[in-house]
Amino acid sequence: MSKRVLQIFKFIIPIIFVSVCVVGVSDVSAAHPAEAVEATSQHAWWFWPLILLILSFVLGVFAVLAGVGGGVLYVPIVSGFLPFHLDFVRGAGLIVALAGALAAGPGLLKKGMADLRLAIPMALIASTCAIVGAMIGLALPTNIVQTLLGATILGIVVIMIKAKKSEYPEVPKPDALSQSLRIMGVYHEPTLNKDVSWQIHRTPIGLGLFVVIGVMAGMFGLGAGWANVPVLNLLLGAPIKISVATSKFLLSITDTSAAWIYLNNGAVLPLMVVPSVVGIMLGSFIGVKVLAVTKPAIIRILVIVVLGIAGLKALLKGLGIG
Amino acid sequence: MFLDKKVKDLMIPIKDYVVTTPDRTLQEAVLEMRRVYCEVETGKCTEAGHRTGLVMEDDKLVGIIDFQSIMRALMPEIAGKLSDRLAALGQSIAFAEADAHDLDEAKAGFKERVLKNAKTSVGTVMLKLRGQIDANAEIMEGLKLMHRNRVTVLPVFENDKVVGVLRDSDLFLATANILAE
Repeated sequence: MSKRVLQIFKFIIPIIFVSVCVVGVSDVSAAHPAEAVEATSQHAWWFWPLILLILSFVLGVFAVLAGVGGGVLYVPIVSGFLPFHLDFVRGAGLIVALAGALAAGPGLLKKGMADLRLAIPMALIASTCAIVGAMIGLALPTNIVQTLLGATILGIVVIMIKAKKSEYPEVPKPDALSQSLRIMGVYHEPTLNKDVSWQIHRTPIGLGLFVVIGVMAGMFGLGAGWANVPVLNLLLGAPIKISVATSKFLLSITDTSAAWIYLNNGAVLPLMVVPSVVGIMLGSFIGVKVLAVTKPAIIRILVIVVLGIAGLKALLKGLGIG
Repeated sequence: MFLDKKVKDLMIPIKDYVVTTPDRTLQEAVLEMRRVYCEVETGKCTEAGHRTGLVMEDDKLVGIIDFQSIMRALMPEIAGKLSDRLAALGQSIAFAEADAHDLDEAKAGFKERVLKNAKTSVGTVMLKLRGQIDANAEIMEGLKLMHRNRVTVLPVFENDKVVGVLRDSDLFLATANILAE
């Protein structure tokens, strides 16, 4: 491992330590709501934004190293371990996921990796359903949303453990719907120095799943890369490169629609969103630098375990057990 | 006598130089530059090969392409404009978060990057013009201008028309010739 990476880790480890200590303290106060109000009032206005900045930074680093979306980590961990109302966390989570998608989307589209013909029908359905999901999420009682969020997070953990990827899935025959929508394409793969043509099948089932994905993205503010990529790659049969890029582009449309609902309902607090977005983006930047040198497998296992605990915590909290 | 020499006496005439257009691909420009560079390097012409080319549009000089600008195009995440670097970072994050960081083009090797940029247009990688000189100007004027503008080549004009290029290597060879006399 190079000296530079060691230096980065030297920088990250104290931050993790501090944030874990602070999260631990805040968790204790969150367990006793009355005391939590008392405790938060003792802090200066910048205390919680600073905690969010540090925690988001750590989440950004770990999200990249573990191969998980920032939004997926942000919502369960922040809502589970910090004393913020779930609506505000979901609102901020959507903007966090949106920031990453907007940063990558145009470049991926320009390079021909994200495919418009594939993205637009899916985005149309997913963004419409994300609006519905956001409205349902804000209308339902918090404990029900928390229970559903917990169940969803545990489902994501299972997907992360089980789901495989297929670099060039075999699509023997495109279905009639994909043919009529002309969802197919060619992209240049520099590693092979050849043009790779692709097509998709099972489009109606895929569109149906994007109804569910859209509702979940809007309801929980998780982003939806964890669901988009397996559906595009394993179910529809798009190459993994196209799936990842199109998924990111899709997020920029889906999450924008849902974000408007949260924004309109006053559930997007700049004091939460700004440090969270800055923290996640800076963390992701450091994560990418570390990833260029090494990818410790233990990090993914660690993140899956933490995500599992956060999902379980949300489930139990929603059910009134925790 | 050397003292009487002007820029036009040292410059490379435009007919011996690489001239391309902004809409041509990097592949076309690089292969043409190699032809001229290698032709000169094997001793058929002058002592130093041309490491730059002129980019013309409608008979008007709009930019210069050199070895460095071509090399920079191969690594936009490091040497590109701020927008290119941010886009590359966004893509790296996108692939990393999907647990597919090995597909990230920032991890591509030299050959892959060269092939990927084959169709990039000359206009996107060319350098802006930083100074020009008249064909009848004194050589010392060219030397000062190169130093002041921090460039290694100067397009030479005569009556608002590009007639050649003055390079730092031409000035170096002129220096060597004086010392050899």
